Amino acid sequence: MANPKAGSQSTSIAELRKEADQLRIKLNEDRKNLDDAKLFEMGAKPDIVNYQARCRRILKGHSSKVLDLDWSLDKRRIVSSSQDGKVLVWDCFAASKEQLISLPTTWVNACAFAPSGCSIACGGLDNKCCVFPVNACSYSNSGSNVAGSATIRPSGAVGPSDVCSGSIMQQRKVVAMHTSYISACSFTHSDYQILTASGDGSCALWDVESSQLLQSFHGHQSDVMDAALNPMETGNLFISGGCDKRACVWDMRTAKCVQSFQTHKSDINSVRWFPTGEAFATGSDDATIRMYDLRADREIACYEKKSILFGINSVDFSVSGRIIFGAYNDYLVHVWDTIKGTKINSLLGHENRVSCLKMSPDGTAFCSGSWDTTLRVWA
Amino acid sequence: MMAPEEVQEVEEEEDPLSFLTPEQLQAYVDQYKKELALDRTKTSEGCKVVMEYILENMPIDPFIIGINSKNNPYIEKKDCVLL
Repeated sequence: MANPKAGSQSTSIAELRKEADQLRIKLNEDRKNLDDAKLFEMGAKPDIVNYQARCRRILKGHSSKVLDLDWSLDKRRIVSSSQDGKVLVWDCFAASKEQLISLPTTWVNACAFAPSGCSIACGGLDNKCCVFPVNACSYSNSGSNVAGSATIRPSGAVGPSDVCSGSIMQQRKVVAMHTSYISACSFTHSDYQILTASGDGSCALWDVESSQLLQSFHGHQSDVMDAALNPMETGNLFISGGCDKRACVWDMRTAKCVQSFQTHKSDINSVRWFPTGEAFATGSDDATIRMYDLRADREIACYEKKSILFGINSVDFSVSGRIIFGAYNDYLVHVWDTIKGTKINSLLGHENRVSCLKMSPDGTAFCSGSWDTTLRVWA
Repeated sequence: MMAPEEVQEVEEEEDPLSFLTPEQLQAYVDQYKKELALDRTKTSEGCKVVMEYILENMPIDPFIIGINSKNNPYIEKKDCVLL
């Protein structure tokens, strides 16, 4: 005899699916009805731009794939993290290493500089996001192979007395704990709160001092690959993108997803706000970069080319937003004209996938990191 | 013997809702209802704001106006040598 409960449950699933489908169709219709313009048509009038950026610095020091990078607000320091478990702080002008932190785990997927420049956050396969002080190193005399931090002398040599065995790990603060890997982390507008995105499908906001979970954001159906806080000082929104192909806009105060967009055909690896804080771009494994507008509540642009088949790991805008830079798996940085939709040029230099890319705070240069173990500064 | 019919491969878009539990489906339904209620503007409005910002800020964008050694620490200054 058929199980009546199972029968009613499958009916309710079918009903829910029908309702969800109908709502989704209506949502697309409503959005379409207000779709009265195309960005690329409006962008036909202005002159073309064609500045060719060149690689100005190559930062060598990691022994394995570079996975993430972040600029300090002082516009000259960069923190980078790698598969080899090392987090490096660089002085970009001099192309030199300022600090090395060796973590006991490999695959440090995410790293971020605090607004003050006095601490950095990093996390990865250890499911944790930790905060370390920058350039803090106390003398220690054991000098063994334990995870530690080293101050690099100007000559580049690292002396045994400089290696703090374990003391940097004692200064480490474990702020966030997820149930799967950390894919992205960033400080909010202060040094005291961190936003994390995780392979466990959630994003979370943490207090650095107390390591307490302040708010968690659930809604993605799969790993969340990136999250970005609204650049406006008063902004309470952040965006996230994940392997469920959805880009979500969250309200930090209510922990609710206020808008979501599902037009990508594959995992979204990167989300970046447009400077106005009212639109954002996403980069995906489907080889397209798409731009979504919050007020129009739809995708307003798609940057793609038949000849470009490889996924994008990271995107960022130039200061005016006129240019979008994409870090691709075909080892290139492809440069797009935001309003015309055309590819301006492609930057060759890396010898493996470009995994991360970020514009400097004042827009004078951007840095890219790659699986070829180097970082490159382009201007 | 009849020739085998050519099988036409239709690319089916994976239904995002196909593998969810009732609770997850209910969450989707609630989310869609919320998003439907959103007050949205016309696309032209959104694009206009984006265009205006870009055109207004292009004059200060180093990647548009060109980067010279005076403003940019990454570019080596070329010293003039008096011969």
